[in-house]
Amino acid sequence: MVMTHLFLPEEITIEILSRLPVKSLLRFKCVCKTWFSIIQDPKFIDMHMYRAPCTVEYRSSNDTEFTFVRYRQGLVLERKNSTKAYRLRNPATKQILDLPRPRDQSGIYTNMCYIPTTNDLKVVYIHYSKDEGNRKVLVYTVFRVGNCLTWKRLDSPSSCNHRIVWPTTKVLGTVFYSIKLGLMGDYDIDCLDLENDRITNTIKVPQDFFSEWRNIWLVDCEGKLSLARVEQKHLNIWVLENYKLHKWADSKINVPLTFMKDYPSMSSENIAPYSVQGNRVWMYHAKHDHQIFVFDIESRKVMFKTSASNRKVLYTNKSSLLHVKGMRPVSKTEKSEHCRNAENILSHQLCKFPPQIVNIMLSSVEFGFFFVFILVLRHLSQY
Amino acid sequence: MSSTEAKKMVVLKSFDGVTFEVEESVAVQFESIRHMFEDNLAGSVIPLSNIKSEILSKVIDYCKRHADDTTDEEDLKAFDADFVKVEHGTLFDIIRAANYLNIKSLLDLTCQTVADMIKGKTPAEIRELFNISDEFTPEEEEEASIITRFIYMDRYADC
Repeated sequence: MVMTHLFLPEEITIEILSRLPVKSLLRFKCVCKTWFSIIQDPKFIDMHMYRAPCTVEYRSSNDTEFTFVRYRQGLVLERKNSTKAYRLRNPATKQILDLPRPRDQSGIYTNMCYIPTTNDLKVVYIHYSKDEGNRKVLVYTVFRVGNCLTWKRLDSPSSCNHRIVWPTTKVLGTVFYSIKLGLMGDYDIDCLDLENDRITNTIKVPQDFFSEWRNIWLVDCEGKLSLARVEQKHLNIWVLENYKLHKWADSKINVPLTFMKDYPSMSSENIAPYSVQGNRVWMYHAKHDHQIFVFDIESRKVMFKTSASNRKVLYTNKSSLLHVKGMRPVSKTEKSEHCRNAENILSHQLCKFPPQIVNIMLSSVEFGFFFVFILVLRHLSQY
Repeated sequence: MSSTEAKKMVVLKSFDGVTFEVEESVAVQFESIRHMFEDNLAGSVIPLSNIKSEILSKVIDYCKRHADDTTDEEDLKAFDADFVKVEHGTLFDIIRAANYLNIKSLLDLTCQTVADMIKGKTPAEIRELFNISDEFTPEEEEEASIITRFIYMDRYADC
């Protein structure tokens, strides 16, 4: 065999490397200088993340040491139960970064967002505070990971007149949406531009959207924010066409969930849709066990279904090379901590998605609904 | 395409002078040279000066199969699996041709094949396979291998 024939131009090398698992890539950093610089390149890391297969994993919900908060771009955001301190962990590269504790400890919701243009990762923490008139206000604080040591506070403009119910969030692109229930039973959506750390606007949700205002979910519909509710075995979706112009779609999308008749134990209020891409609706079902469903609207078939028994939480996982400034390898003492943790994670691969499905999951998934409930309930119980 | 209409043909000429007559419906998959035959240069020969006839015939074969709507998905998968069962040198030649002609699905298939082939290999094996001589200085290698060692150790710790 003539070896010189095996030489490949760099663009093809990148094509091949972007299809490798993280472990192989870390090992191949020492193949040569070209490979080393390709594997370090943020553009390559982005491309690799886009292509990496997505897996559904489950972990125990009664992990005593850390509470899983969110999974995004290959990074896990988790909170230490004893100190309530947050940390970011990349399970694939075994790197961690401790975040400073937010000043207020009554946080009700946390989410994070990756800003590709500046290669920043931002963590948003939502909590309540009191204004001068002793009224409750909703406060968003943003932490730019790796670049500063403090949380930056952003005040919600219409924060005075809403009840503490249903703060749920969604990150789409670099916009962070948070929905809240007002005193009159009306809903508002705060939109945060995380690229510039500011609250851009608050959108009023028209009252006539749904017959009832319970179990409303924020859904990623082809990259646009939407409100969804499952009513009598039908999924109804209102798409927000343009958040800056406060423009909603003229009519709602109605999807009959025909598969529900095959699952008698399933009830509408336990279904949480989280993403609609192409003809496929991704749904989370949480009752005694947790399930993820992928329903094809056209063929009316369930394309994928997976479940985990009680006390385990399902979430979608994707390994990436993403490295945030300030991250360090897990130290020896923490090592044992990590291994203990790994046992709890029970991260057995349940399924691998083909690449075309992968992107859907990456862009959209609202992970860990179960914890949202816990957080909300825990918070409500304080009042 | 209407069956009564004569099928438009395109003539391609390989590096070693062999000509191939292919239907336009097949050749449209060659994104990078598409404009040449779409400009309707009837009968003219399109030279592909860096693709050997052996490789070009394989690539055309692949595109024919993928242009055929009647083939079902399972058969196509089996065909693809068979298609990449070739020597490394041939596989790399096909990758280069797919890259040059910009045939996305073929590039996906072949790059994924190489990725699956190399993912478990050591850096030394990779250097041999890809004929890479550009090595690190001993210090640089040491630095890079610290990460590697760490990952290996971790693999066992994970089990």
